[in-house]
Amino acid sequence: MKIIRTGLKLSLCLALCVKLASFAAASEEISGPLGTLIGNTKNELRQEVNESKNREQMETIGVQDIKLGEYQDGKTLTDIHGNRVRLEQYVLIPKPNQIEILTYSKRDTGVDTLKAVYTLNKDIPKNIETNVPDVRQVGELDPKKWESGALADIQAPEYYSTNIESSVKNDKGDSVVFLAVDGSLYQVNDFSSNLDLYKYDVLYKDSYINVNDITKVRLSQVGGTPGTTTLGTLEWYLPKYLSTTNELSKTVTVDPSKKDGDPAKLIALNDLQTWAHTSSESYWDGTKIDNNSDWWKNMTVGQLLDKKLDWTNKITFADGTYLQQREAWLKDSGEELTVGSYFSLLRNLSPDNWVKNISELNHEGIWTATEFGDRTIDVLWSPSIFVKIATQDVSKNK
Amino acid sequence: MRSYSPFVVAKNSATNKYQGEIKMFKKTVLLSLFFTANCFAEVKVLPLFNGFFGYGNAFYKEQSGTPSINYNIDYVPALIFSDKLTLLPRLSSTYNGTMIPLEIEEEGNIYTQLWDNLIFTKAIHRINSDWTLRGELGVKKEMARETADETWGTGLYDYSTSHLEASLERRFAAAGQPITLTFGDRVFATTFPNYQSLAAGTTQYLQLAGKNVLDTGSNEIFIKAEWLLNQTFLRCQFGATQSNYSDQKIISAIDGHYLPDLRKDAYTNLSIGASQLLPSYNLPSNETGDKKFKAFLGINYESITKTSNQCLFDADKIFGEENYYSYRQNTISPSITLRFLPSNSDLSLSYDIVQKKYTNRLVQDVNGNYDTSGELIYQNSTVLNFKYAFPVAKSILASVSGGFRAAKSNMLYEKYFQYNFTAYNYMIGIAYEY
Repeated sequence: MKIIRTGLKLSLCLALCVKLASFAAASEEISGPLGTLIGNTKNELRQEVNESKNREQMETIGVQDIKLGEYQDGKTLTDIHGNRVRLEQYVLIPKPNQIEILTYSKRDTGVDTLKAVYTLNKDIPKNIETNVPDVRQVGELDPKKWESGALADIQAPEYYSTNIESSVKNDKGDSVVFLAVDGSLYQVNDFSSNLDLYKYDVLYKDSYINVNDITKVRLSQVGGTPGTTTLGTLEWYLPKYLSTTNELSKTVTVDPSKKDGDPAKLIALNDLQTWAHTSSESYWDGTKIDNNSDWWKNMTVGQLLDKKLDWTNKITFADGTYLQQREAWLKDSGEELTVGSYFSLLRNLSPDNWVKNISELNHEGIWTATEFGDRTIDVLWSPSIFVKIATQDVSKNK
Repeated sequence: MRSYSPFVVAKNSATNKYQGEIKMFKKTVLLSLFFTANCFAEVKVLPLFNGFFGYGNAFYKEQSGTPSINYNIDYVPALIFSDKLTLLPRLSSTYNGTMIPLEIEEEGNIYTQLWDNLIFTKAIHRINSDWTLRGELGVKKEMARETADETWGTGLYDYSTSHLEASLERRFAAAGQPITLTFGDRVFATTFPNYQSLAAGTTQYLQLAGKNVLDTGSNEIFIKAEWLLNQTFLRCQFGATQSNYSDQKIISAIDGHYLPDLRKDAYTNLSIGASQLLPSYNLPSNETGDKKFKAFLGINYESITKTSNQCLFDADKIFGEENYYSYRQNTISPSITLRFLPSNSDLSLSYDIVQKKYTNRLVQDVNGNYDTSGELIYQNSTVLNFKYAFPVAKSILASVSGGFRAAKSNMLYEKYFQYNFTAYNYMIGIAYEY
């Protein structure tokens, strides 16, 4: 737009030259005041027209300022194909104890929405100076990032989410919604460590995955004592085998206090038919990932590095429906990141550039489901909002 | 996408106000024309025509645009009803096909093409030897293609403006020299038919954000003075413009929530210029003495101050800034035009020195971190333009023109927008004037 402004300046300069030329011609052609313009010569009439052109200046400046602001705010981007991408991100506080993160992205397929509402265990602290809720003081809400330690040493976080509503939607009525309600803090084993460490986590009485308002997965916690290591059991409800009415069946019951792979984790297989006909598949940049095969052995290092950071997970339910999620990392230009370029990026990260480099990556999620037909939900969002939370933690540590 | 009509139906109350005034004026003008046509038995028509056809290219940070054509057509069939009343209907079309890379940090096929179409009518009524009344009504549609998937008419930043202007000019003599003073008022509405907030209407909460968030209704009052002192021409203009956004709510700089107030921008612009016609000079090595040139020297100072009540809440950085869009810009533009005789060819040079200072926008480092010492963003630019035009036949001028721009800023965060860059362009063309 500065180029356009340059054009404007140029036109103004040229208009000035025209004015000068007209002035010179007028001064030679007619005597008397320059303002005597209502005569019938062409030069005088042209001068009137030029004056009108000059009078458009404020209209033009206003429009250019608007466009400039939109670009400076990063609300309009262009992908690698030269196509328009629009992005709007909001952090909102619908209620004193809620944080809402909203992202709208518009591509040629329409407007898609990513929304996450976190309801906290208590109100967001208020800024002392302004007396309004200050989300910067809430701290880390992701239990995965909470610290672990000996059972007697770990501290319960001051803020945690008692309810989460996370959803992706397109503008054609399709949606995938994750709901988690009635959450409480528990002390759980930190299975990432071989030591006998514990950390706090939030377990929700009920969690749901809904596709177009149809519940596909329900997870219920039964029993358990909040604030302790007594977690109770988790019951999985999945679409019943051959059901045509979206009926759910209690399929399997597990013990959350046991590590994955521990035979004791499985308490009961409640519906063998449904369990047997529910399957999942994973693909990495088009290659099927199978834990029981050596799919990766035939791949050269070069092929590995050229693989895009593009994963697809598909779950097929026993009633014949499916839900698929594809995730990819992209640069601002729309180019998909490969393993090689990602390694290169990581190798070049330093304390003074990692925020910038990471924030230049965009995350794209694409959802498809039986209920969507040929439609998809395609959401593009920037991770920089999450980077920000991390940098605040870094600054706190300092 | 909404269709475009020359008299665009306004989409909100504020622009409706202005559109309503414009519609009323349109009816008045049409009625006036009808009666005028009957009142004046003999109408003299004096057609004016300007056409330009050019071919050129633009470069941005060493990155070339795509060479293409530009054209401009301006047709004014002036209707002279009497020595007191003249009507200037004007049709204009401008096309900038040169794909100009934007200053967004991207590679490849980022460009913009512009196509303006304008129609207006200007009435000039000379009340007596001292007073002249002018009225103007016009509409303009600018279409912009900024991305590969935008076609003409679907551009996100296509816009339309409708304006109504009235001014009164007073002529008198000061120190024995003619001087004119003009007072005027211009009402205009700007609409972006293809731009609506993505958030609008999607949730109950965000309906508060507004839908047609870029549309404005504006009013500009201005005063202008021109003074002719023999071979010197002085000009001064001051204007104040209020732009009201009819559907854009103010954002809290504290936490990003929407406040009930609407955005309002105000501009003041002051322009002071002087032009001097120098005596003719003989060209060196001119044996016959018929080759000479005249020089027109000019200098112009312009100051634009913008104040906006809109704030920005950076959702990425969880950081808010008040009056984010306010700035002050000063421009000094010396220029010179040499007219060579007897060939009547012109060489024009102008040099703009521009300083833009944001009054409340903090500098960010390359990582996007806001400056903690309170340093505000500035951008200094220099722009050099030249044009050489020479007649090749009666009423036909050929020209070569070019421009160079260098911008430097203390703003270092350029993920979305480039504040430091160089750009240049050239154009060859031919113009016809009748």
